[in-house]
Amino acid sequence: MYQGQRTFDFHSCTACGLCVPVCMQDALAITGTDISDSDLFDLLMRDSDYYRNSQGGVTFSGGEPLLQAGFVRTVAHRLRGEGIAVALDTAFNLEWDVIAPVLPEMDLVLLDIKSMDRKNHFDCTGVYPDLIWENVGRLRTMDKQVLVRMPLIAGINDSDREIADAIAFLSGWESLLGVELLAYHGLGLEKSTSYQGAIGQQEAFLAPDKDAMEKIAQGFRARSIPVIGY
Amino acid sequence: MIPRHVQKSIGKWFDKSDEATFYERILLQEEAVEKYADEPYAIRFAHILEHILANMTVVVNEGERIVGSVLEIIPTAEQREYAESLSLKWWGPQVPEEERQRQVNFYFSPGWVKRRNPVFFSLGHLAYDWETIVTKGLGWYANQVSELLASGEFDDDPEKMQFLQGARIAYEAHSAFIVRYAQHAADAARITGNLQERNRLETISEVCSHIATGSARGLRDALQMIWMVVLVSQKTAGCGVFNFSRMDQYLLPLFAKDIEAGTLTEQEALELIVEFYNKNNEIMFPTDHMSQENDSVIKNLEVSYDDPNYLVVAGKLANGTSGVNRLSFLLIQAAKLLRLKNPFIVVRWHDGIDSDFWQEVVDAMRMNATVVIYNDETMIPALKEFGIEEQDVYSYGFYGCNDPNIPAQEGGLRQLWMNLVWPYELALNGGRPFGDPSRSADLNFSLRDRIQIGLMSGPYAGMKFDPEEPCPTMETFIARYRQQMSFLLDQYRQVMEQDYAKESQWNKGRIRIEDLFLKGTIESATTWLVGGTKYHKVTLQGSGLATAVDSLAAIDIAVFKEKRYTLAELRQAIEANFVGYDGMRAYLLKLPKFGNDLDSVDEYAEIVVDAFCDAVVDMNRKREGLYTYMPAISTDRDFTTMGEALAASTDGRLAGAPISENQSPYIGSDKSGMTALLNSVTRVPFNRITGGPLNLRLHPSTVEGPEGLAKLASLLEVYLRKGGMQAQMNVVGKAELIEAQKNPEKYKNLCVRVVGYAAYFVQMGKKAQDELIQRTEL
Repeated sequence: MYQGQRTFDFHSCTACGLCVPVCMQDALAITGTDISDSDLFDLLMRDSDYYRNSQGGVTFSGGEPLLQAGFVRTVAHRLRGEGIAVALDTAFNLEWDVIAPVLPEMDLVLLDIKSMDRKNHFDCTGVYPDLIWENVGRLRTMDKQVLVRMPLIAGINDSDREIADAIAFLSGWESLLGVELLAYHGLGLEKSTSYQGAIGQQEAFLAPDKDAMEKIAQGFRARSIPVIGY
Repeated sequence: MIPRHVQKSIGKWFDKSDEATFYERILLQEEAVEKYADEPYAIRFAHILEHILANMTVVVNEGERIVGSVLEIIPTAEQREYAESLSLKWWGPQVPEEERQRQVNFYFSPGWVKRRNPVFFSLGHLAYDWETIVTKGLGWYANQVSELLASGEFDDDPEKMQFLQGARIAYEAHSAFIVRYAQHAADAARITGNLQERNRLETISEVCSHIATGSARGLRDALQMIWMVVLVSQKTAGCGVFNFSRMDQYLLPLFAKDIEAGTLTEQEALELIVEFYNKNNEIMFPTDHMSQENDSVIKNLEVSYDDPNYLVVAGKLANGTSGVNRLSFLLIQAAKLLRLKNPFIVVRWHDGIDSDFWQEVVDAMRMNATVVIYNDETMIPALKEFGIEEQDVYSYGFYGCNDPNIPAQEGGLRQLWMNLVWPYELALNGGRPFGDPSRSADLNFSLRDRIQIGLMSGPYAGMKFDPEEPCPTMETFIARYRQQMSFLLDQYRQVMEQDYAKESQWNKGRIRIEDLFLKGTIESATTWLVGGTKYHKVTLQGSGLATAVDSLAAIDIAVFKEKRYTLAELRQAIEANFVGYDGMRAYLLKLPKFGNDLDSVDEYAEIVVDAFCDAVVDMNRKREGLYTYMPAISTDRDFTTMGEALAASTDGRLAGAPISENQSPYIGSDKSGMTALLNSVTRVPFNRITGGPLNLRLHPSTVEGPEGLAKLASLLEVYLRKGGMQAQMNVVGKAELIEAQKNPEKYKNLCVRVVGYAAYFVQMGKKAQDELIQRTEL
């Protein structure tokens, strides 16, 4: 209680979870749950008829699912044993030793490319992309179905040079299904504040306009890289 | 694609004042009631109909090919007062309840009955023998009656002779009415200078003069005939909410003949169907009759409201093959073009249904056309279990709202809203309702309960026992639930059977307009109310499924599995409406809930529904008289009313709060996504349930584009294949999202797609919601 109001001090929270069951209004929740690989498999199999009939499947997403690579590999292996397609949605910023054992269990890899400029990549994400690019180089040799997803922010990562570099980087990749161009949206802003209270100032980013998006898409298509959607 | 004159007519309807009414009906009816006061019931009925049809204004609207409309005016205050005085005369408080029952045994709510004169009465909710109407014609019906009258068979039964004489007058009145349209169109054709217009009117005239007595020669004749019969029944006598039954079957030979002869293209057929659909919309009073609190519902002077007419497409044929044909496609395409609320299209899915057709259906659903799906694979076994013979079962369809119907073989709606939560409350409390001890008296189904809409509002007393009697296992508790269920239903059966026996006495020699077009009524000269048709049923609408399921599962977990509380402690908390039991209520609210694909609770869906169905089987075994009983799972909008007399429940619900709606989880308690919801619902043994809706709400973004269509088609197909019975959906847009923003607690399960991922709308922040709301507009 602070000045007669119920308040929540995120800095003191140890995620013990005791507050959750006593909150009548369902206002508090622990994000994430512990689940064993076999329980997750059983849970997913309850929807197996839907996956099979729709020719869909299960996507491991995140966060970064490869931070639990062994777990992902085990569950994916069992799913494929039941004839269910499995996809991996990853940033690829991990040691190849971690990634390699998981890839054989994946029917499809969804790969993010955030910037083709080393410095810009560091400024935007806090890491240099060298490891990612190196991993992509290895992935290209593997005949694995891949869908590349590029978030685009006006004036940040949509320069002609960056786009040209991306096109060059992805050209000639036979098992690449295509690229999905994702125009920036502010739908994640609230998420970043919902678990931390109101923190920091969010910069006002803009999406590239429709014409810019179309031009970028044409650039990819001109080099025979299918654009899945934007 | 929608003909211009239809577009205009739709626009006009949406702008129509809720004051507008078919006023001349009221005057003509009263004139005739006076004039024929001394005639026997059936003759008097027929003359009233004849008088209205001979004098009501004939209306041919601009551009239309299918004709048949009524003249509406905005009545003056005096005119309105006169109409109100009639309602008062027939049904006012000075008329004792017993007398009303003698006039009309089962009459729905006062709102429904008030504009209906007791001597010219119908409540619709049935299917005519459409196939015979179009293939034989009205003249055939009149001849059939003449032959029966001449046969001598009924000579020594004056009431039956009157029934037949009345029927003959009524058929001839229909024919004469249609001839008036032929005449009117011919007259109009003569004075128009426009050649195209003259052609249109001359064709209308030719069609009407033929169908006045003749059988349909093609699709246009058939739709015109059906429309004239509907217009007369629905607008003069209040016999609406029809089941048009399997239109793609009985109209197929006529449609095929037209196409083969080259007299009609598919495009022209589609336009005729569009016109026919719009006619159903055009004659509706502009209101929502389910909102009895609406001003317009109270003001309405019509004998029909916004009556939804049901129309059945696809489904299996008796020989095991699929009924899907070209006409099935056109019937769906017309619904997709118009997206009006009337007619209400029921598509009967079956294993192996044509996949192109299924895509067409699902596409219509995602565009918010009024299209719902039912599952032949569960419906057919269910109808058979509850007494429908093999030879009739494939013809099944529905009338409003989601009630099963064997076309032409049964009369109008009879129902009991069986509140599935009551037997649970009684099982918990020794056969007595909680609360004020006066509620524990021997409260049974009062006359008011029975003759209104059969709404089980309560409180009710059950089979009494000592609540402190040990209950060592959950099986014991379930046995008590089953016992109370059987007890309540058998109480109901006994009183209703007494009512129906009396009704049979009172209705000898009477006729209702629907008797003209059912099977068996004319041949036996007997109204369906007394046994003229083959089947008579009461639909038992099982209500509050999820509330009953969650409450029973809570007892299982809290008392027997986790041993957290005793039954006595739960009883005390419920008696106190959880006041002083916050901790217990928080615990109960967080227990597993139906709708999340969790076995520990979903198994109770089977237990509850089996208890219900077994009790209904038992009723049918003991039944005396005409009626059989059929279980459905449905609440309509009355899930609020039906919660009012209930105490709190062990799912954490407070006293008087609503029960769960239709087949849905309790509001806000399904939090695990669409497939989990559907998996839970498929635990209901639907192969024993004969109707009722499952409402699904989807955001348009989840079903966009060809990929979205494929996903939705697949989702619904798997649901049905896993044993789901019915689905209907709302693909929501901006207005509802704004509403969700204001009342997030009611929209917890609204799932939206945000570019590359999915989110629950209410978990998103205000700004993100705003952005999404704006984007939906694009």
